[in-house]
Order: sequence, then structure tokens, then C-alpha cells
Amino acid sequence: MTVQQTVSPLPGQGATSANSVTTQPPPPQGMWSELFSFRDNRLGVLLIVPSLLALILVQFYPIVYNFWLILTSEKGEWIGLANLSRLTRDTIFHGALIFSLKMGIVVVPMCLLVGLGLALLVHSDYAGRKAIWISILIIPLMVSEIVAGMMWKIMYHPTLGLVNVPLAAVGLEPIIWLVKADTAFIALCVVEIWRISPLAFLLLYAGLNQVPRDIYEAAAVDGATRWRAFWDMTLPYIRPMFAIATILVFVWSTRTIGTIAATTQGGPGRATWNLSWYIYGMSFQRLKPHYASAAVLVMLLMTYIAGTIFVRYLWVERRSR
Amino acid sequence: MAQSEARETATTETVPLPVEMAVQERRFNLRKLLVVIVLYLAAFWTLVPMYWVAISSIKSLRDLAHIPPRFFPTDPRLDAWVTIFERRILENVYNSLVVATLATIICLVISVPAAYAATRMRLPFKFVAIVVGLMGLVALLPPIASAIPLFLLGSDLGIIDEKYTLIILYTVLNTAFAVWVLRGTFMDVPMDVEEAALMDGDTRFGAVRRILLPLIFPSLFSIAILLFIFNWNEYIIALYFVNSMKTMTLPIAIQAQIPQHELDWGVVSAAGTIAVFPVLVAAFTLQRFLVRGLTFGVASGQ
Repeated sequence: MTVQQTVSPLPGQGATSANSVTTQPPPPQGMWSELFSFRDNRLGVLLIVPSLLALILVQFYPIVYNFWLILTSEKGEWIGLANLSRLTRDTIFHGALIFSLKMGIVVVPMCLLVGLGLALLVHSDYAGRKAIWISILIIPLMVSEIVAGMMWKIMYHPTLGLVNVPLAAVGLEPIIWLVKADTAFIALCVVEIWRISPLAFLLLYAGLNQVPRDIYEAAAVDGATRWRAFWDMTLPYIRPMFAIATILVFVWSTRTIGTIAATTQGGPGRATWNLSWYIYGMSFQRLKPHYASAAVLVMLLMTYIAGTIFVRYLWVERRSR
Repeated sequence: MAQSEARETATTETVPLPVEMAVQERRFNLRKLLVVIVLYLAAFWTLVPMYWVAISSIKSLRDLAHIPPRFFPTDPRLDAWVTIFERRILENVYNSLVVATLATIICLVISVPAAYAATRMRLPFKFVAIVVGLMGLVALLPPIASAIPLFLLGSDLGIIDEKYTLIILYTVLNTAFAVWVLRGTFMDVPMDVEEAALMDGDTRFGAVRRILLPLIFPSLFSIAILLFIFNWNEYIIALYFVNSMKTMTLPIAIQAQIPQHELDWGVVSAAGTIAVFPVLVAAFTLQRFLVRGLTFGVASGQ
């Protein structure tokens, strides 16, 4: 129950401000009886309830409904685990899952590397006008998936696009990027790195801002090299942000759908189907929402695993400091 | 940013040893040059697709067909822009604006009180912890996971292809994220001032209105812009819930414009330029807040 430790500083804060009269916490009772025992609590619950209802409507209801969908056929008959077992034999699904993971394996390290490099550069004393650099570098983060895909579709275009210009300059044949499976994979990875590495940059830069400066001065006095200082001091300090960045980049890169919709439409053949595209294609184009829900479950599991690591890293790190 | 400025002055004030200074003097320019060159390259890499789309929208057909492609249009034309307005792109912009604005406002209206209660009120912390933890996890869930059940529910209720459906869905989809970020913002504000007001006999609502809200207003504004951009860009839910021009938001309109035949590239470029414009404004408004605010509480030193 790492979650419970999360807000441990909060009740103390609340106590000092809200009820300056009752400074002592009440004797521990059941959570629910405690919840409604004070006027203050009732108001607090009332304030939280709308958000909770929103959460239940769009997040928990769909998850529960998903299970019902998985266990029934498209006609609404109970079929048990047939959808899931069919999924394990579905080669299109295998392809989509492998594509998503393959993309994650390429995109996550690249985004972290690019993000860390840029964060260090912008953080260094040599970069003047940090605000402007940050503003420019985070732009792709706020561009819609579909627009990002559309932009890169033009960039990759054999005649309109810019990507082939340097190739032509060194005398190589122009590559028709989005038509062959392996070049399409590379092309999509580049789009994702363009789109998501600013997220890693932003998080790691925020992390670097938290590193106290004086430790470097101390290290310099002790004669530590820059590299040593980076490895032994900077990295441990930004480790929690690094973990968050890793997970968020992974989650973002596996859920992308707009970039695929705009560039390859899953093609050539089914070479660039990822999990999201599979779910969309199965549910919306082939009208098999029940079967697609089984794939949603796999996606949820992936997110759940990433999320558990997220919470654990976040809170465990915070407590140990 | 004030923080980083303070840090910069602090570092310039620490006087290095004479030997060190000589070394720094000699190496300073080369290092700085390298850093700046790499940053310019990164900026180029970030901006070039946007530049390319923007100029593609004003290139003449001859320029579009030119090989190798021209970096600057020789004969700028507005034909593509005329076409895109003829295809009623303004209606899509209007839909996007209405949906994104209303969803942002409603989302703040329900998530600000929740974040306030979670940070400022004396609730049993188990309850708060569970709520906040759930919201954190939910903010990670892929929207496509809820799309199918919500779509089926929407079909049953007959509310597919309505603007208000999109507004409701966008509101609730962002709530968990909003509560999480707002909670971090509230935790950054010290409670002393509010406490003093309460001691002086101000009501709780008065203390919030006169003291807390003005203090957090810059962050609140940034969060509003961020939510607006999320809604402006939202694609997956719209893919399921938009069927006609009546509700078609800009991302779906752009997808519909991606050409089947070659000559239309200017048109889709123009649509893309329209979609990106608010993003550029937002990036420059938001950068301060994003560096501080999106650290998920790790940075607040709690």
C-alpha cells in the first residue's frame, strides 16, 4: 500500500489551517465513520465528490464494462474467455503488440537520451535565455498527434518532403519512406521521437532544477571531474524524474494513434499496426467492439504495470529523502 | 524562473581560483559555442516540420512540384487558404473552440474544489490518499481504453455526434489530471496567510477568494491553457464521437483533408497551420509553469 503513504504530510497541514481548535487528530476509527464525523469533513467530501463521479463515469465504469464486453460475443451472448483465447491466436494482434513494444524499445531510450542531453544543455550556464529555448523545445509536446503525423507525412513525401533532400545532396536515391515496412517503422519512430522527446526534456529539466548547486562546488573542491560529478551526483538526484519520464514516454509512445492514422494508415499491409490502431480498427472499422475489448485489457495491463512502477518510484523516492 | 535567475547570480558570485579562472577563460568560448550550436540544431529539428507545413500552404503549384523542393516559396499564393475556407474550416475551428473552452471551464470548476479539499481540509488521510492515488493512476490510462465502452453507452443513449457529449467527455477525461496538477500547485502555497485570515474571523470562502485564489491565479491560468490545448488536440474520443460537420472538431477535419490525390497538399497544410497556431502561443505562455508545475510533486520537496 504505497499509495497510503503518499499524502502523509497533508493531514498535518490541514489540521493547522482548517481546524485550529482541534489540533489533535481524533482517535482512529473506521475510515467511513471518521469521514462524516465533522462538519468540515462533510464539506470536504462534498467538494471531492464531483471529481470522483467524473472519474467513476469515464474511467471505472468503462473498465468494468470492458470486462463484460470481453466475456460476451458481438451478439451479447455469454462466451466466457473465448475472446481472450481467440486473441492469443490472432496473428494480427501479435503483430500489433510486437510493433508497439518494438516502438517502445526504440523510442523510449532515444527520447530519454535526447531529452537528457537537451535538459543538460539548457540547464548549463552557457545557454542564455533559457525561457526561449524551453518554449521552442516543448512545442511538439503540444501539437496534436494527427497534426504531427500530417506534418511528417509531408516531410517524408518523395517530392514535396524535406527528408530526402540531404540524401539527394550526397547522391543517394530518394527513399519512399512510408511504403516499405522497415523504412515506415523507422519513419514512425522518428515522428514519435520528435513528438515525445520534449516530454522527457521537460521532466528532466525540472529534475535538474532541483539539484542543489552547492554539491557541485563541494565536489569541485574535492577534485571531482565533471563526468564523475554528473554520474555520482546529478543522476541520483534526478532518478525519480528519470523514472517518471521513462514511464510517461513509454505510455505515450504505445498509445499513439493519430500519427499512424495520418501517415501510414497501418500500412504497408499491416506492417505498422500498433495496439491502439488495432483496437480502433477492430472496434470501429470492423465493428467488433467485444473482441477489441480483449485487446484493451492487454493495453490496460501494460499501463497498470507502468503505473505501479510510477507510483512506487515516485513515493518511495520521496520518503527516503 | 525567479529560482533559476537567483541561482545564476549565485554562481557568478562564487569566485573561482586564479588558475581555474584562466582555464575557464580559455575553454569558455569553445564550450559555449558548442552548446549554442547544438541548441540551434535542436530548435531547427523542432521547428522545421512546422515551417515546412506553413510554407507548403502558400506555395504555388509549380513550387510544390519543383524538385528538389524549395525552402522558400518563389511565388507565394493563397489558393490553398481560399480552398480551405471554402471547405468551411471555420466551422471546425468554431466547434473546437466551443468544445475546448467549455470543457476547460467545467473541468476547472469541479477540480479546483477537489484539489482544495485534498490539500487544505482535514479529511482522514486514508480517504485523500486513495482518491489522489487513484487520480494519479487514472491520468495514465490510455483514452482509447475508455473509448469503446463510452461509445457503446453513447449509442444506447443516442448522444453520439453532439457537441455537449464531447464537452462532457473532455471535461471528465481531464479531471484526474487537473486535480493532480492543481494539488501540487496548492501544496506549493504556504498556508500561513490563509490561516491568518481565518484567525481574523474571515470565512473560509472569503479566505479562499481573497487570498488563495489571487496567489494561485498564474498557475490556474496556465493549467487552464494546458487543458485547453489538450481539448483542442483531442483526437481519439472525437474519432468515435464525431459523425458529421455539426460536431467535427479540427483534428478530425484535418484527417479528412489528408489528400487522396497529390494536388491537395497545400490545403491540408493550411488546415495544419491553423491547428498549430494556438499551440505556438501556448508554448510561450506555458514554459515557466510547465517546468515548475508538471513535476508531479517530486519537485515540491515534500
